[in-house]
Amino acid sequence: MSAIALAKILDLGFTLALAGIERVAAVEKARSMEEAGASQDEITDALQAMRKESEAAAQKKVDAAQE
Amino acid sequence: MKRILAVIALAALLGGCGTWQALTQPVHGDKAVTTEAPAVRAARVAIDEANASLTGLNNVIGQNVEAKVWTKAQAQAYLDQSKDYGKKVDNARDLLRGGLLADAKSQADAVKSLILILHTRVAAEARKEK
Repeated sequence: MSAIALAKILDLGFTLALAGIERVAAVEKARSMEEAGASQDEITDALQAMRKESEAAAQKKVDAAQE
Repeated sequence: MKRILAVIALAALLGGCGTWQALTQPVHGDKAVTTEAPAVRAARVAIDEANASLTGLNNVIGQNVEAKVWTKAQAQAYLDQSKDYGKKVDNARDLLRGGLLADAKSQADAVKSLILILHTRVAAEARKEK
């Protein structure tokens, strides 16, 4: 395997790691709610709300981007 | 040179394991206390994990368009796909509320698989654009 191919794998790994890190924030929120004694429905609602907020935030950034 | 390549390969391997773990880390801990029936629990876990993964994906899409890694059109296309999966997860939640447990779980599981594929596509695209 060439050094260039390895660099590409590392680069791809970095972007995937970023997605993983962003996902961890949602996982941590769910676990902290669990520990605080929240009901399962409350946790599911919170994760759904987090997803919708992230959609809206991403849409805002896309709208603000130049063509 | 061979030593450098070996170190890079090792870093890629270790990084890859960590990445996979982060992308598939269970939303609910082992010690979660629940009185739900196993079928309800299974459907709920699939829905929660799909929502967590989509949140991660949306944040990466926002970061990549903000950092100008992608064009507006590319980011919008990925975000539209993510929103579409989000609607499917909401549909799975409705099925769960309606007591259609097997349908809810299979819908959420299908979306989870699609999200992982989309994650990989998004990452590959970001790499190409750099």
